[in-house]
Amino acid sequence: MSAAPPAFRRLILDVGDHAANPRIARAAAEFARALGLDLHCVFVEDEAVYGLAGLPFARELRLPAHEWHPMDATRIASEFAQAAAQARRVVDEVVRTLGIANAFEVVRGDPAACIAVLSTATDIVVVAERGAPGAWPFDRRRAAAYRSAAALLVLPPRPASRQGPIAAVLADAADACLEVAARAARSAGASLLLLPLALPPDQLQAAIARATARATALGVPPDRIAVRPVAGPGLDALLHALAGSDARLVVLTRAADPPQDDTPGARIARAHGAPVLLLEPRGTVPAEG
Amino acid sequence: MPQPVPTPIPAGLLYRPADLAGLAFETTADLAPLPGLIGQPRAHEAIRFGTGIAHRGFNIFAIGAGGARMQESIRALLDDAAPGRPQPPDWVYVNNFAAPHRPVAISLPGGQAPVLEKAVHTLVDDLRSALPAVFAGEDYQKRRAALEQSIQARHESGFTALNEKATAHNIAVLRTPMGFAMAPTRDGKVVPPADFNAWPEAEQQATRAAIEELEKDLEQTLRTIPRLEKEQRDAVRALDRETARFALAQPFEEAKAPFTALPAVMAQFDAMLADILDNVGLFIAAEAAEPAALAAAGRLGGPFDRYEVNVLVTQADHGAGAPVIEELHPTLGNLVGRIEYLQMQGALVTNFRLIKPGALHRANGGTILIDARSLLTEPFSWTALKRALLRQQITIEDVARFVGLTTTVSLEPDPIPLDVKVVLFGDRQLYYLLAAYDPELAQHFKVLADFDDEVDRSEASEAMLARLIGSIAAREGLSPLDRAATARAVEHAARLADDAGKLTLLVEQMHDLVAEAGHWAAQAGRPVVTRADVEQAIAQQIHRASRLRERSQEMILRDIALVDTAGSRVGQVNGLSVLMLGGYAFGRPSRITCRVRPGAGRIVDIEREVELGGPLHSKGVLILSGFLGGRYAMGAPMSLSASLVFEQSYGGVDGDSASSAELYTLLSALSGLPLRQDLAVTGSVNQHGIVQAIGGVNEKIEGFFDICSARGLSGTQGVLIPRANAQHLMLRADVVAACAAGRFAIYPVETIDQGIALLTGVPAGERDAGGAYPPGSVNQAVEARLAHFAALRKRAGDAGDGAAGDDAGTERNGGKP
Repeated sequence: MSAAPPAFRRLILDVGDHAANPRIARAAAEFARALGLDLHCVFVEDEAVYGLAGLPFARELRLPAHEWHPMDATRIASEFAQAAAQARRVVDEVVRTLGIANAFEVVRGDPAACIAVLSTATDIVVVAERGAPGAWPFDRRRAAAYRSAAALLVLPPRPASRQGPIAAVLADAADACLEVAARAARSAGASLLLLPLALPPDQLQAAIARATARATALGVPPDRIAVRPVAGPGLDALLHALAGSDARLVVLTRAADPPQDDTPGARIARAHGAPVLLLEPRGTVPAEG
Repeated sequence: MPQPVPTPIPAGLLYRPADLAGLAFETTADLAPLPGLIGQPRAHEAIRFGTGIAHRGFNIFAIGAGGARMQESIRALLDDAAPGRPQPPDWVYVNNFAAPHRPVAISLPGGQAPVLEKAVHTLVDDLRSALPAVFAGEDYQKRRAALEQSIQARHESGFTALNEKATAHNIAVLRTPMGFAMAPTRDGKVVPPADFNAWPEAEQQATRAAIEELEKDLEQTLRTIPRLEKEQRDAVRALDRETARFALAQPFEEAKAPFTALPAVMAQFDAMLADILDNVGLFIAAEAAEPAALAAAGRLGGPFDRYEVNVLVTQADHGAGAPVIEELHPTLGNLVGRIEYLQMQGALVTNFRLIKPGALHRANGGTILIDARSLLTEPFSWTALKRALLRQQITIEDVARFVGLTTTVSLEPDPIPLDVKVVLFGDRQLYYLLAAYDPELAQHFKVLADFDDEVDRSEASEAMLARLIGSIAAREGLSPLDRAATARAVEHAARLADDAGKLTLLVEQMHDLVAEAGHWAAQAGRPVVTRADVEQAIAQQIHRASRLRERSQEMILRDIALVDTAGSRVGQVNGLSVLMLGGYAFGRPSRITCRVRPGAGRIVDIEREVELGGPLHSKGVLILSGFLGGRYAMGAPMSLSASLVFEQSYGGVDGDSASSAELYTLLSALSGLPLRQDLAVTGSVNQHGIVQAIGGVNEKIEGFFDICSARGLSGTQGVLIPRANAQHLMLRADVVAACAAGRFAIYPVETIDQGIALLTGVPAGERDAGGAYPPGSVNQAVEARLAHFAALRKRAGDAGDGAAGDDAGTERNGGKP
């Protein structure tokens, strides 16, 4: 097993879910530029919705009028096309401003399957946290993203203005997130904040020393490395360690638990107001690059 | 008693030199400066009274000649008095959060407005960084996340129940581009239509029934969303207010502290706090905005304008005391203030920060000086000033709205109480016209400060003028004048006053003289201005303006304009007139002639007949009839027809200063006695034959002297002037020298009899006890000629042929009776 993280190439943004949200598109694009990734936008036309049009009794509750209408394949196709075009306009606008490489793909199929197929170990998939009632909480694409081999970039519902360091939550000095965070810090010209998880005191200093040495070896100047040990187990201890840091990005390795919405990554993103990059746990992904 | 023929005025009385013996100085640099009102005790008193009295309407209207530089004098007087008067308050405009189109005016102690402006600006600046930090902080983020999650959990619980129920019935809830739909599933996958249609009918029916039921549940669940969204919004708003209130408390307390004694300011702080609590998103959104948007926020028209303070007028700029403001361009906007607009995305917008003060705002609590002519020539300004004085408040009025040029939404700022002393200055004619045509003038300008144009000449006033000359030289950075130069300048002041016994107070002309003399001194490399420099300045001033004078003289010298300066002629005399062009006056001799014949007693003024004579000239001519009728009435109707004319006059003639000359020609024509052509005549005459004073005597004398001098002085030439004008003589040095040498003479004449005797060399003659004039006298000859005309006319009347009209006579001028 290797602690080396994969060399990420693409940032996948599912624009079918939050098609015309410029804020999310911009946050994703800025992240892609910071890490030198291609922005790959995907708009999935749910084939099941097309299929419903073949059922005579099928009908659609259309928002915001809250009125029921029969399913019509032609209209459905037109509305998918309009939504895709709108999403493309939003992405184009952001991409033109930031000047990054990008692709925009419209596919028809099962959204969850599409996301699962598209998301490889060298990808990062954007997951935007819900901020208001009204969103359908059982989005299968979201679940597919969590299940995929790709890393996840969890965007908070209301990003706070953060100009501080890039934080790496370290299970140990060999944690893959250290390298990703160091790379991002170097790229963004930011400091690096190391958050070693709770260790016995006799091991802590040695672990810090190793992690610091490794970060230095990864190109982060020592004077730009800070360490805040996480004082105990659990998410609250981690949030406590993050408090006041103004960290602009938190990088951590996912637990090998079954995927679920309310993961620590999502909770950190909400509570801290900054994006969280969730890496796959060690051993689940072969090292690349 | 026969009146003696007048003798020439002694040369010593033709020019009154200045007497500065009582003033010890080498140059004017040694003299103490003389600011303020000089030689204007009446105007001084009026201004002191007007500025001292606090009652409404006692504003000042200062009138005087244009060159008096009244505003400078008044300004100096007011500036001296201003420090002793109480300092007026500052005024600011702030946003009216309840009604933004009606900005609120707040008064603060003098000099405090900038303090308030800075305090508020600093407060807003601090909040722009502090509030986003508070809202970005973990504490707020955690509380908000918890709040949102709790509401979202309620929302999701409804969806969860629906989802569980749907899953139990093998139904999936799908998102469509525009909403939601239900689909049958098998093994967690949506069943394609073909497969579904292959299902047993009963199963299809059951699925349809389940979907129908779930659709109702979905509808019900979705209906709760707006309520939950509102709940969330309200909860977030309450959290934001609570967070902001805590964050704002301390900064506001610190900002308010210096103003606790000012209720209006405290109220504004409270309104501002309430507004920020309602609009805290403004600060957070701005913090997250693009840099360009942030820059825009700092400019006028930005979102934070609403909290700023517009310092309309502050006393911080000029120390203690009351302001004295002079408005040189009193447009409506410059007077009562204006509202400016910004162009934003094609629309004109404004707010309270774009309210600009007018001169009345700046002068409020003090004094404002305005040029009356400028004020009256600006549309709306005069009426706006009167309105402000009447209401005792300054209301900003938009001229564009007056004339319907714009329908842009504008502001109605609070009027500001007005307590100002207005000093208008202008020429007399303007004041008298205004007084005649605007009845409100007296209501608002009860104090008249009438500036004299001249002051009596005395040792003291000469000394005063010398100091004024020194002040001008010092103020303008010119070389000082030595004693002789100063004396010459003082003497010139008397000449400008057209009176040896007066000194002009028209500072502008003295300023010009001193400046030009300084220039010539500098050209000659002299550090001190000498008399020669002053003389050169005077000569140059005349030279520059004398093109017309020279052309006029040239015409005479070339005998194009006929003026004799030797010999004698019947019915012809040299009259003298003054031409005033562009502020420069010069005298010009004109030939005046008269012809007589029997007629109906009418003297024809040819100038009037051809509409070249003005009313005063006509009056003078009509007086001649009165004189003739009174002196030579013989119980018979006047049977004279005479015509009088200014020869070769092609422009208008006005004034009565030629009436004595016209009478001499008339008497000459009637008597047949020739008049000397080496003399010129000026002076008006009354019906009793008294010669009366005229204006421009110096220019007239010099005008005739120049012609005579050019032709060669004969020693007999001279000018007859009214005796009353002798005191006005300030003649050129060459004229005085000629008179001193006996080559020219100035005769002071009191009566027509004196004048006619001088002009004809024949005594005028006085009636004896029998009522007859002595034989050989002028009057006897005139009376005899008139009697002859009467007889002729009577004969013509007796003949009944009507030939006794104006054209009946056949005799010609020069004919003896």
